[in-house]
Amino acid sequence: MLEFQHVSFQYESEDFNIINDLSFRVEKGEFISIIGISGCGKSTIFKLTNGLLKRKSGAILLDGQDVSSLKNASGYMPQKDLLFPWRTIEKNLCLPMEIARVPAETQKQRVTEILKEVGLSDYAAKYPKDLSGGMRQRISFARTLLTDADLLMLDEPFSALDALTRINMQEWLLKQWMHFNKTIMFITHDVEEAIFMSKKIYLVKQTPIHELEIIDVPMDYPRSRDFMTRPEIVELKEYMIEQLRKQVII
Amino acid sequence: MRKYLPPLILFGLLLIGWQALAMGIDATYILPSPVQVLKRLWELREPLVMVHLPATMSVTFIGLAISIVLGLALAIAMDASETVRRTLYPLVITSQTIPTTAIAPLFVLWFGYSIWSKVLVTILMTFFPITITVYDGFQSTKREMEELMLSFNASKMDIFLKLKLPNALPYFFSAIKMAIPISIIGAAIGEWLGAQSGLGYFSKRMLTQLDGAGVFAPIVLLSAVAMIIVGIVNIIERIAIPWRKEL
Repeated sequence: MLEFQHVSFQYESEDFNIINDLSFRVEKGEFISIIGISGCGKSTIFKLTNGLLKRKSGAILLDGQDVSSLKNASGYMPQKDLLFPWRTIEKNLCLPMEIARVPAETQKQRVTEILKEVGLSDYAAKYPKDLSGGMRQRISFARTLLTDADLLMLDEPFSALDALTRINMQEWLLKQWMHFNKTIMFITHDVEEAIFMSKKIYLVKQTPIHELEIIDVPMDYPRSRDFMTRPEIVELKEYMIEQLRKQVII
Repeated sequence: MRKYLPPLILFGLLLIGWQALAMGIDATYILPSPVQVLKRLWELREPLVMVHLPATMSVTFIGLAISIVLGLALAIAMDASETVRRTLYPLVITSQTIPTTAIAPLFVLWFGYSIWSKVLVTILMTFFPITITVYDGFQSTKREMEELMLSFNASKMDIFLKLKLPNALPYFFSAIKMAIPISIIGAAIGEWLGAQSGLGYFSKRMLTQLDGAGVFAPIVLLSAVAMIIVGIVNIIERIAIPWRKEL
């Protein structure tokens, strides 16, 4: 699905490549997490994939084609919901389709369908301020789905939510992933979240990012929270925390 | 009602202080008391409201309308292009360093006692706050929101129409609220320097007659009108952008 081939990238304000000769693959239909400490360059990987940043060298391929030649190749869900306060929920969901010049009738129909899917049909005419944090993230996810991209990149989407809402949202997202059959790349710095959600975890072990350690999570879907107490999962969690702690400077 | 109490008390105290000071000085042509001003306002109500207020208001509204169009055009141009911004900004700032009262007589020379000399004074004073405030509104657009739009493959026009424009609406309303009193002052200054009607002209005429209360009466009327118009804009703003606090 997605392939990074020897990609390097440098921010203008820095004198080194934050992404340095990085190569990795993500297979179709997978749910993978990229985990790393704050500021390690995780989000840069997303911005390179959706074209917000231009790579210095290397190639980024999506289904074998260069991403810079593709439109709407990937859907991006940011950390904050970024719903526009002046638009109703319905109009917020229409945004990616308006930009893609989808006919108004189709927009309306798809919004109605997606609102039913995310369980917020009654909120179409409401404004973002009328929704809770969890609801807003569900709308933000629905908006990402409406980009029609097969690859969804979610950048710490639950980091601003309270602990209980966050757990519910994680389970909700897994259900959505299985239902819509998309490929999801999920950025987080929460080890437990990464383990619970992903099939594979791509661990950033150092900055500049030269390679990602790929860890398979030995759990099948659908998952439940009980899995988290299994000895192999606890061991995995400890290993990852140890790897990440090495990089944290207090 | 409680929230209006502190300003009402302050306003009342200032009026009492003014009344006491005026009674102490006891010379209407130097400082008329508030009671005398209100009395004079009542006596002069017909020419003030029927003749001079409409004259001042037409200057104010024509000036304000042109300033809004000009201010918006400049703000949009400055936001769209860095070169335009660098070219125009110094000129816009320079225009504000011109002492209006010094240049207004020139306008009278150019346009005579017609409405346009006063309108020009109003525009000169009003377009600046509109331009700068609306430009700030465009610039205050969150970078992340712009990036989100770009990730949807939005064009520059999409970003302007769907993001920057609505984002700048609250700033636009602030600009209008700022511009209303300034445009009224502009109109009054214009009239003060050369006119045949209008509240500024009327105030000046009263001064030549050493009628202190008569000088203040049109000023009180202008302040009241400015407050009413700003109040109306506030109501429109609340209806038009109920999401203002969410930004």
